[in-house]
This record gives sequence, structure tokens and C-alpha cells, in this order.
Amino acid sequence: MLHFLTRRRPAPRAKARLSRRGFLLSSALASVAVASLGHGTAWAGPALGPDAAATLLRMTQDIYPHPTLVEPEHYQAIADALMTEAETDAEVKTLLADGLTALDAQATALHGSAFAAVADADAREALLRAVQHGAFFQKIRWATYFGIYDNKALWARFNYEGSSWEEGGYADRGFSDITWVPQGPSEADRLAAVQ
Amino acid sequence: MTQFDLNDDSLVVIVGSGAGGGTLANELAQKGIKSVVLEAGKPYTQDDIENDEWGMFNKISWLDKRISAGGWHHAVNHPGLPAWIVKGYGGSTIHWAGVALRFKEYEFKTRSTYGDMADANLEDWPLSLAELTPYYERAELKMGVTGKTTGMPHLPWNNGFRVLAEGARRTGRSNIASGPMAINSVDRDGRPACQQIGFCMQGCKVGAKWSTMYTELPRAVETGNCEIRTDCMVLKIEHDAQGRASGVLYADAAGNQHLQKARVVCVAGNSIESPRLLLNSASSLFPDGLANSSGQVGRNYMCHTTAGVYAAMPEKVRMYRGTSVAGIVADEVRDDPTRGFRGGYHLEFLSLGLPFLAAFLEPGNTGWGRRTAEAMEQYGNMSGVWVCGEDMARADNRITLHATERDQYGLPVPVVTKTPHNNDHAMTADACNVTGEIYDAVGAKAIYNLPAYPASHNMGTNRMSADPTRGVVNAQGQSHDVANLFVSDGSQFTSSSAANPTLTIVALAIRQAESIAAKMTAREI
Repeated sequence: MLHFLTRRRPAPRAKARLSRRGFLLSSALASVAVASLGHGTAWAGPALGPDAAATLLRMTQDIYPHPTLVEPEHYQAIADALMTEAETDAEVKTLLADGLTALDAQATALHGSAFAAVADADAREALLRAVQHGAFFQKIRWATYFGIYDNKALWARFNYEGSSWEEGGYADRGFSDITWVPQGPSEADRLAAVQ
Repeated sequence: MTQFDLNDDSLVVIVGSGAGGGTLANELAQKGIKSVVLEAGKPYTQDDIENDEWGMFNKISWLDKRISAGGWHHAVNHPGLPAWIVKGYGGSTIHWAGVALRFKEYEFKTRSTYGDMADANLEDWPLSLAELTPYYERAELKMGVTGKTTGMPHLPWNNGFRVLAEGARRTGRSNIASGPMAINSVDRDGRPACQQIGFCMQGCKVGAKWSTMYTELPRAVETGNCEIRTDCMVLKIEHDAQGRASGVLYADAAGNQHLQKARVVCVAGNSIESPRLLLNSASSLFPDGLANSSGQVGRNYMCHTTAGVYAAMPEKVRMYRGTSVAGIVADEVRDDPTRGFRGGYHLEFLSLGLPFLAAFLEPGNTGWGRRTAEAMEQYGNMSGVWVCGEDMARADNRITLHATERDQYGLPVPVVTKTPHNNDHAMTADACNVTGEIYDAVGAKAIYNLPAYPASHNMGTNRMSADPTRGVVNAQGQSHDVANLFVSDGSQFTSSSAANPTLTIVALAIRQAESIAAKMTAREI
């Protein structure tokens, strides 16, 4: 899983993270998990409180901002999944609660308002850059990464089509269909080249 | 499948089922020589292959604990994943993209060609291109490599490669081709022609790309001369009082340990596991590790001088449609010291899917924010290159055993230490500049340079040398110290060249099988 690429972590905890990460992989999966736990959707309050929820949502939008490509509900689903995780995992709850509180405190100290209410995107990015190497930020960063770029529901927005073998690949579906650069060599040319 | 007895000491025991081990097993089996292949990973089949980057990464990658150390960026950004290889039936031939390039003559002779390069530990292969050429041809016929040996045309050019090729042409380059690839361009050898699916590095769903998973391994088993045991992690090579390899201790899926006796042992676990196994097999007779009188076991770790270069073009490209490495620009593969570095590099078109490009565009903690997001919105317009350049051998770039950390098998965790040579830095800079010029020539709007990915090309850690004090094995891959111990994978490479290693691994395995058969017949081993 991605933490192999990005973090040093003692083995037992790494294992626990791995199983939890699976749950973050798509918002659809997260919803199923929430429903099965009987929490419905009105759970954000009890875990971390509405201020924290607003800060968390704004963070996901600032980490991978696609204001015209990705609707707010997709960011909301990522934030919701994190909040759900915080409900069932005390360690995650502490990580998120402390991190969000500290971020809002720093935003207030520097800009006079909570993080989500800081209007200047550069100022918000600067607040996040200051904490980007910590576990709190990276937890939210990778959840957002998976929720945006490994989310099949969003791939078409980025002109990515995903799995193709079921359709017979692209041999007859445009693997070489652009017209603004010359064609490659013909089959006869390619055959002649290897004789 | 034939089953051999643990006490059968007439067998060749092969550690690993990838390009080296899988090929060797089949070559021996076709000659009537019996072998047991011990594969650490699971028994995957083509049904397990998905067109899903993270899904396959999590399913097949070698994710046992490893530590990146040294001055490369992996030590910061990929601390637990120095290499991106496969743990499973077929090894990294599931993951490889199919590029089947031969070495150039000068690339076998780096020490005599480049001279006494400071801070490097260069050595000549005890082999020439002329000696290896017949085996390259046999490897190309076996694998189904497009080109003159098979007569199979190179694959048709996809969108992404056409963009790169046009930029290369406009900047005066001419060595531009969609091969040689070990991917069928026509139906051949019971495998279909490529369907331009993409996802070559997640495993070929239809089997157009050569992999030992559905060629060498089942063919070896069909002869009745080969047994393949999956989920079997080799812990140690045992030897007798005379210092000859006598068997292999391994752990099965349940963790139970077994000793498989052997007449000959062949190590093909890739360039981290193979030296690690020799180091872990230290004994009172071999206190520095088995076959390590030279002190070179684990040293000279090479993984190619690389970078990624992705260009956002003014119009749609959809680079993911079609083979992942759809073509190669080879004009820069030459030794021209006036460029400020020795050796050369290939520019290999490489598509990444949306998830992987977003992860590798800027690896590590900092790859987020508006710059990354804006780049990803250009995904559909991108074409990209993976640079495959010669990486200079350095003695201190090496695999060592961690003093205290143990893995799930109780073995010391391997530490992979690499600090690039200054030659690598100069070559990388040149390759990024050249690729930028190529994409600029076709109107690139933005160009993104990516650092090296976790290494899929791992070489050099049990290197060949005619001189037993400078290398671990001879020109047949046979240990200088232990006559019935062979190294059968890329760890025997003396230099890295600018060529992807698999074709050379396969050619060497075919050659080694002949050597083993002859030595067994002559009762030398």
C-alpha cells in the first residue's frame, strides 16, 4: 500500500493501517461500511464536531484542488470517510482532532479566522505547507489522493478510461487516432523494416 | 506436476521463477535435467491480472520489509520500497514492459572503454557481444521479440509514441522504433497478438507479452522434469564439509521449514534477494557469506540512471491507450565523452495511468497542491518518457543485512544503499534536457521532470568477472568459490548498459543451462 512508498512505520501499526486504508479507497465503499455500522450519515458531529468537519473538508479541497472538474460532494465523501474512521479508531480521532484544532489555531493567529474561512488560497496553502511532513497532514493527503485519482467514478473527468481488456483493449478503439502529428509507419513499412 | 523428494540429491534447485530462474528451469527440463523451482510468492495466473494500477501493485509486488539508504531520493521518498518488483509465480516477468534490447559491444567493456573512473568500481564482462549474440537470437525466438530474428514486425505506433517520435524527428533524430518488444505483433507460439490494452506493467491479460508465468514455467512442468513450489521462501543455502552446495533450507506457506537436497543450486531471486541469500548463508567455512571470497557479494548495485519526463501537449493524446512502452528513441545510446558523461541512454515512451502519474509526478510528502492538480488536469494531453541510462557500478552501492531488524521469516532485513555517481547526475540532466527539447519541438505547453521510480531494473550485486578477486561468478554465472552454485539472474551483470535487463538475463540463462548440462555430464558438478 502507499505507506510503503511514503512512510516509515513500525510493522504492527503498518498492518492495521493497511486494513483501514482499504476502506478509504472509494467513497462508495466507505458508505457501505457506514451503513453497516448503523450510523447513517449524520455522524460527523459526534466524532469531531462541525468546525473540525469544515476544516477537514477545506483541506481536502486545497490538497488536490479541481474546482471545475470535481464537485464538492466528492471532497465531502473523502472527508466523511475520514470522520467515520475517526469514530471507530481512537488513534485516528486524536490525530485528526489535534491536527485540525492546531491548524485552526494557527489560521486564527495569522489571519484572524478558522482555516476554512481564510479567503486567500495562497495563505491556506502556506498553512498546510507548514505541516505537510507530519502524520496528520499526510493521512488526509493520501486519503484525498485515493479519493480523487484512484476513484473510478472520477476518471473520465481526467480523460482516463481505466480497465480496457474487457473491451478488447484499444486495438480497434483509438490507440492511434490523433491527427495533429503524422501517422506511424504502415504495416508494410514495419514488416519491411524487419526483413 | 511431478513431485520430487526432499532427500533427492540429484536435482538442480532453482531459487526464483522469473526471467532467469523460469528460463533456466525450462531449458534444463527440455534437456532432461530435473529441477525444483522454489518461488517465494503466490501461484498467480492470468485470471489474477487486472487493469488496475494499485490493485495489481498491492497484489503482486514484493512488499516484504526493505530499507532504502544512501544519497538517492528513495531514502527520503521511498524509504521502504527501494525496488518495484514482483513476488509471485513468474516473478518480475509479470511486471516488465516487454522491452527487449541487446547490449552494445562497448557496454560489455566499461572498464576498458571508460577507463579508471573515479568513485566507480567498473569491470569488464568476461563475455563479448559476439559470444552472446547466438544466445540473444535464441532468447528473441523463445520470447517472441519483434524484429529481424523472428521476422515479426514491430507494433503499430500509438498516440503517445507518435508525439514523442515526431518531436525526435524534428530535432534531427532518426533511431526511432516501436521495438524490439517481446510482445506479439501477430499471433505466435500459442499466444495472441497485442490488443493495445495498456497496463503492460500490471501483467498482460491476454498473454501477448512474454512472461515465464504462461510460457517457460508450464512448459518446464509439462516435461515431467520440473516441480515448482510456490509460497516457498528460501532461507539459506547449505554446504557440505568440502564447501559444495548440498541443499536449500526454505519455509513453506505455513512457516514450516524444509531442507531440499541438491546437486546444483541456482540463485535467481533478483538483485536484492540473491546477494541477501548468499550473505545469509554465511558459515564457519564461508564467514563473509557464501561465494564471497571476493567481497563483491551485494556490491555494485545498479538500477539504471533514470528520470521520467511528461509533457502536456496542446491537444489530446490519451497516452494510456496501447502498450505501455510503445516505442524507443535510441539516438542517445553511445559513448561520447564530449557530452560530459560516459555511456548513453534510451528514451522509452512510457504511459502511466492517472493514479500512478499522480503518485509519481512529485513523490514524497510535497507532491500536492495547485501545481500537482493543474498538471493532473492535463493528463489526457500528456506524452511521457522513461529514461533508461547506464548506471555506473560503485562498490558502496550495495545490499547489506540490517543488524537488528528481522522480516516475517526471521531473516535480517536487506538494506539497499545507493548514492548516484556524478556521471549519473550529468546523464540525467542531459536526458531531461534532450527530452524537453523533443517535446518542445511538437509544441509542449508544460514539461514535468520526475525523479526515478522505485527500481524495476536491479543489477550487479553478484557480478561476473574473469578475476575471482573482482567478481563473484565466471562467464557462465558459476561461483568462483563454490563449483555447483550458480547465479542466474540480473545480479550477475558486470555493467548495467542502457538496455533493459530482461533479454540479457534470458540469453544468459539459456547459455548457463548449456554449461550446467555439460558440466553435469562431465561429472564436474
